[in-house]
Amino acid sequence: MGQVIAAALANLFTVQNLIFTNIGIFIGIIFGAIPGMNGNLAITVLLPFTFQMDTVPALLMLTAIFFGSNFGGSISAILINTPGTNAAAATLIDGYPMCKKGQPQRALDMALVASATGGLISAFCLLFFAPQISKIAITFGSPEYFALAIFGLSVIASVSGKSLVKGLISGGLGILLATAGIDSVSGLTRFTFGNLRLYNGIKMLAVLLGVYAIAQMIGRLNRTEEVVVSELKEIDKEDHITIKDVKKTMPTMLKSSFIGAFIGAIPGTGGAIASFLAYNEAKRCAKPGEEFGKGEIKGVAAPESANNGATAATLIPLLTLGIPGDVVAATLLGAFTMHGLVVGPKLFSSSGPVVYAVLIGCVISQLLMFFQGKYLLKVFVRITHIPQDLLTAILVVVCCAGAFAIGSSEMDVYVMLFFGGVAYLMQKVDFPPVPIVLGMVLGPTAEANLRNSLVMSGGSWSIFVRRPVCLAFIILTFVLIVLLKKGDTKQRKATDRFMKEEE
Amino acid sequence: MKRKMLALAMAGWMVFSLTACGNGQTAPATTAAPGETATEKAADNKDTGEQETQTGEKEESDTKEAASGAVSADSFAPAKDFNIRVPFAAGGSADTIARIIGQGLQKTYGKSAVINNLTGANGAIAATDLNGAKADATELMVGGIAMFTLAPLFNKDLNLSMDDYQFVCSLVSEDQMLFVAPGNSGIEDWAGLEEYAKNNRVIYGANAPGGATHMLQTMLFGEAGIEAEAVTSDGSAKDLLAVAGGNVVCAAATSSLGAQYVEEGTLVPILVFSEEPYTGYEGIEVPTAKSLGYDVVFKTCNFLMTQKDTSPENVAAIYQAILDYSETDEFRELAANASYIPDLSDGETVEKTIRDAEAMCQEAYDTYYVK
Amino acid sequence: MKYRSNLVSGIVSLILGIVCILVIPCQIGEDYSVTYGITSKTVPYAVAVLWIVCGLVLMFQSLIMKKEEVKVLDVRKEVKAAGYMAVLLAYAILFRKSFLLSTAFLGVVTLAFTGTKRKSFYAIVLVIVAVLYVLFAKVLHVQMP
Repeated sequence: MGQVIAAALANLFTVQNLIFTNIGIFIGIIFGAIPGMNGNLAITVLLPFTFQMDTVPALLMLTAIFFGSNFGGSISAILINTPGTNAAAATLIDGYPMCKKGQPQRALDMALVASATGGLISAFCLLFFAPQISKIAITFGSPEYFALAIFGLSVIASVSGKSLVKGLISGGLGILLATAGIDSVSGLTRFTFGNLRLYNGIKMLAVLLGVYAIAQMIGRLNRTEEVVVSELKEIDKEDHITIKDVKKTMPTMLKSSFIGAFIGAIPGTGGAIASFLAYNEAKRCAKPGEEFGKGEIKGVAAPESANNGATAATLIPLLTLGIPGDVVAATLLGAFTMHGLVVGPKLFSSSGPVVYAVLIGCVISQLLMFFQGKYLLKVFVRITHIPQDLLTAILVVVCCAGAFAIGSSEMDVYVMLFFGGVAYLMQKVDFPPVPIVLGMVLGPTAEANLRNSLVMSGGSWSIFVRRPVCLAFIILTFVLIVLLKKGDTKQRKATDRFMKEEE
Repeated sequence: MKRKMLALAMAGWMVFSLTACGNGQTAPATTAAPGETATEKAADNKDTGEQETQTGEKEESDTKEAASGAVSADSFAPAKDFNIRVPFAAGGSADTIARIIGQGLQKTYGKSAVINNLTGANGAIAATDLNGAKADATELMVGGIAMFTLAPLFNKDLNLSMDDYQFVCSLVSEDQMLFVAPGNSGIEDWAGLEEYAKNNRVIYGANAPGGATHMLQTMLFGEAGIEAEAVTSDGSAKDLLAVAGGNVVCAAATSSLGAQYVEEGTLVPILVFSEEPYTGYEGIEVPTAKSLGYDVVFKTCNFLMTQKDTSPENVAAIYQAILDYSETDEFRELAANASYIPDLSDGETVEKTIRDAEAMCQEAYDTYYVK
Repeated sequence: MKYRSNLVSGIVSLILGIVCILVIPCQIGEDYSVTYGITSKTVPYAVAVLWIVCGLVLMFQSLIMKKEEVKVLDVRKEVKAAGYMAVLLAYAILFRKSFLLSTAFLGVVTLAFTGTKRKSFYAIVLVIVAVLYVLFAKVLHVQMP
């Protein structure tokens, strides 16, 4: 073991690796930050170039893109209320209000600190506990996935805003949208309307761009959306993160990072689910005076540490079992195979030095991301200084190009434009947009695994209470819903009291 | 210090964009680079390499004969970059193979080969895109056998016809086999599974109806009169994991996917859906389904195709170019890394394989799926 | 123009639910294998029922419990929004023909909608469209229409 690590370290610490990791982080952040472009696109595009590179730098660069893009997604979520990646959808709930309050830099700093924390914890989990964690992941069958998905869907209750009923309607829309395409259980087509392009289903990123970016732009054009950014002409000296902020959010970040690492390690889940669960948990533990949804700094810390906590952990099932946890991991799988690493149970014994070099590299990537982020954010925050009119036009154009790039398909552009219009109308009657995302992410998981569970049990619903992990999730779901409801009332009362005392 | 790092990253980005822009020119030049590491890796993979040549030998000599006397690779001069459509997600094995072949075309012709992942509708989207392009040997697509056989049966909107395409050559073909986990179910061979099935419903892992592993197992259990139901997933790797984790009893997958589990001892292959017994795993001879009395024979096959109207001479030239490239050390290294065992049969063979599979799929569909 | 938010959303939800129930039979076929009560249609139907129920609840809240939020719609502004949506539709149709031209058109029209007169803005947007096109088509090798 010691020899392997020594060999790994010798493999790792070269100038070449440092350069390529930095390039990876940089590309990742940029691609993550541009609406519509994401880490997967960047990795796919760069894949051919890594053929000609040595194994370690190539894999370091590609994994760095993955990490960077996950953080980058939060930048556009905070600054322009449009998640750059699916995983950043929870970040904007509190991130954008912070920006509105004139604290864009503080929100971005928080996102960076949280991302780096989550990423580090995740990378350490990957480095030290990958085999153990994969043993847990292997026991996850359909009933467990179903319970986990229901657990996730229960978050709708906490992100619905004023009206739970409207939240449910939005959530239903998300679930229904996700059913379009070829059904993964029956092989039948659903809601394809004879259009080949719909066989692939409706892509979540396209819907996200429409619901957030396009709807917002329509609102800005007719001045029904408050004009925020252009008011922030002056750089506010007070607008940065403080040690106090970090101290205050540290418990949230740690908890969220572990939530992220756990969810990430289960194949087929990923950062989006992790970040919503973490957000929900942070909200549940809210202290008096903390107003989630209105620019609470913990509301940025939680989802960001969770979605980066899920990144390196996604590599656990990939490396130990050969199962890619999400789309990006699937592309990374290609990169690993191309470089002769046969992922699976024997990877660590067959290619130890290379694998450990990459894993230790993952830890270092997180640190590099932090340092690069510190400088890049200063540049990005200037987006808020671009004149409103120009910014609107640029964003519309970038979103259209980005939507097309998701899958080289016009359909994604149409979906984006259509849901832009729909979401604009939905705003008029206060339908919350966040549950759409949850429905789209979790609906298919819940449905497919429910049906598969019933096949496993021969139609008996008792399968969900007979399996311990599954039962635990179901109990947890109910407990959390009750606690959240209680907490909500308590918090409201406490906040009222707090406000009175302040007066 | 930190500013330096940023500058470094910036510089790196610029260098990268330059290489990206000059893709076509620079890529072939740099491919020759992997000096030491290449040989190291080649040495590492020597064992697998040898295995390959053994298994691939027969086919290779056949194909060489077929191609000899035909056109040479240089008889085709592409006027533009190659566009290779891949109806599978980036990172998958078909995608990886397409990229290796693309690399070869790029080196041979000095034009870059762009891999275009157009997923969805069982390849129909990529095929439609191919139809929309001009009939030229640079407009290519990697196809899978299911797109002409299973997809049209299960989705009436997909009516791809083989007659609209010309097949350049096959790229890879693999045996599908059935795996069980003795540690979980106590089943060690087909007889054991039959015994188990007497008292239990067999739950197997497969893709959704319309996929190959679903059809193979439906047919097998149907012919054997075993009551069985599928737990579906979106990939055979996940099915194997479900077998290993004890969530399903058995699953079908390609030989390469099962390799690590078999080596490790968690999974055991109990039969193979091919004409010949499978001997690729050390110390195990996997019997055919046929030898057990069930006539279910199927090979997954990926192939390279182009439009019908493309000049056959140019197609032959490309085929020759791929064959030539497959002889190079670079190809051997890339293939060994990706555990890719090439099967480069000619277009006619591909066509015949698809026609055979077509008949079987139709039969399976009529017997087991239509109500 | 004033409108009642809960009542309107209730009615919309109810209608959507009904439309959904009508559409499902012609968009989803019969399953090939055993289903144990949950077919490919179950979840879509469940969503449709959820919409209908939620719609009724919202209408109940609005009409009976008088829990309502009255909002004001500025018709002049909404006409502008509708106009822009028409532009988006036109863009969707043009997109197939050429990414470069249609997106340039969209960028310019969007700027015109903001009412800005600064020529430099128009130039910047056009340059960005061109840069995006080159970036995608030449560097990232995305096939652009």
